[in-house]
Amino acid sequence: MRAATQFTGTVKAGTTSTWFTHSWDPAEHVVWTVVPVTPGPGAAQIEWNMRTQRASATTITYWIDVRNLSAADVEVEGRFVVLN
Amino acid sequence: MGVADGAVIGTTKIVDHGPDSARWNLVILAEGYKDTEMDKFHFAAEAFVTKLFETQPFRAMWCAINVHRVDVKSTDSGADEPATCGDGGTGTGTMTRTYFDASFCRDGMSRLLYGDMALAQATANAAVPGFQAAIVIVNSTRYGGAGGSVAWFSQALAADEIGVHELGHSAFKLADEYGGNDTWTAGEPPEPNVTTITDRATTKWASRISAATPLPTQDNPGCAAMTTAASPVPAGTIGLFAGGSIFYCGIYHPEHKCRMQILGDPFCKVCSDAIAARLRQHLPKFSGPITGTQFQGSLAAGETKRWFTYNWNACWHVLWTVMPTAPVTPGPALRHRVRVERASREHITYWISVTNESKVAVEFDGRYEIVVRN
Repeated sequence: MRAATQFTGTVKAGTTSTWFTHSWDPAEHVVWTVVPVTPGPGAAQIEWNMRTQRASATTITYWIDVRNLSAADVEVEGRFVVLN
Repeated sequence: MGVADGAVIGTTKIVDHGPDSARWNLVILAEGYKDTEMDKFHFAAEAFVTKLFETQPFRAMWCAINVHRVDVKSTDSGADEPATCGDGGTGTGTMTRTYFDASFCRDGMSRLLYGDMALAQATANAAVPGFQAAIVIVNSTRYGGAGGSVAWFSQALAADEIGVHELGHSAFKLADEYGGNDTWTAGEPPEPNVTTITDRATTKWASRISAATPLPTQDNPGCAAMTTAASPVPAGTIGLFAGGSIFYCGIYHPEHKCRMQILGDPFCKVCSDAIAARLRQHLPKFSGPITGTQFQGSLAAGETKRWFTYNWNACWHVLWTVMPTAPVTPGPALRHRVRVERASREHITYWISVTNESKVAVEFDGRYEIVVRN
């Protein structure tokens, strides 16, 4: 079991940005979360959606869409946990 | 001048990302603050922590870091300011009675500001045994700072920039990337961000230099000042740029600009990686999971409601699920969506919208799973 931050970046106000990360082992149970790094108290800043691609017999690519719900740019951190 | 001119009041952990035994511990010490000025020190310490959080790679490695503030009172405010200095600078001539005996004009340089390094180290170690880095904030609005075994910086305009630069020296063994003397002749320096080696295969950061980048990338034949010429390569290109360790030539730094040369600039890639490499080993590892029910809710058929839950540690990896507490048939009942707010530097608020897609009322638990905890 392991966990870490896979990517960081900035999502412009009111837009959606997509990150992909490849060559993951299909046997691994991977859970993704995204959190804002830029403080923005008062309301939810982001939401995310995760999509999965079987890129080959032995590799998975994860696509993570991050939507900025706020009126300001938000720096985000994409985190993973491998549960097995 | 010294410990008789003040006292240690106490220690407060102002950034808590878990046990000190596992984190990289930064200790912030007060110097030249009278007992009645501790609020001012607290403000300065908080401003420095915020600056550090805003600075890469500290931001990316934030969960590796604990910060401890040590309140130390002094009899007088400020630091010693010799009336004349070896570099021609002048000061007020004021001599202050302070705990760490900080003074400007150390080693004949007007801006070099430090005090009793050994006492600062001992004070930090008494507060946080085994600490990784210490920095002293000196209560003076005059520009100054120093690296060394402990970093020091004053409360001059944009002083927190000085502090981050000096921390680069003291905690991460980075060299200055600017000049001050003519030619470096002392051989290969130990710091990761300066080198005398111009051979493409063996220079210190050889693996980072593209084959197309000329070496040296920017030389300084005049050797009388840092070159003011524009970079011959695009910004961010890693190569060999003349100047470093307070010498104008005979020594090179990795990028045209870096915080170790110019305050306010980002750390260059080589410096950034050197910092991150030390911090990374202190990041929280997988732990848990710790599971629980955070809230309970009920929804009428087709209804959507939103719950929020706050003060979650921003370093924790938290998953959210919703679970009906009674059978719902046929078909699916609940759909949920998580939205996230960084309420502060250290805390997250989760907003969880739950929709009942069934044709009957549903009661449910809102559950969390913490899979990385400090």
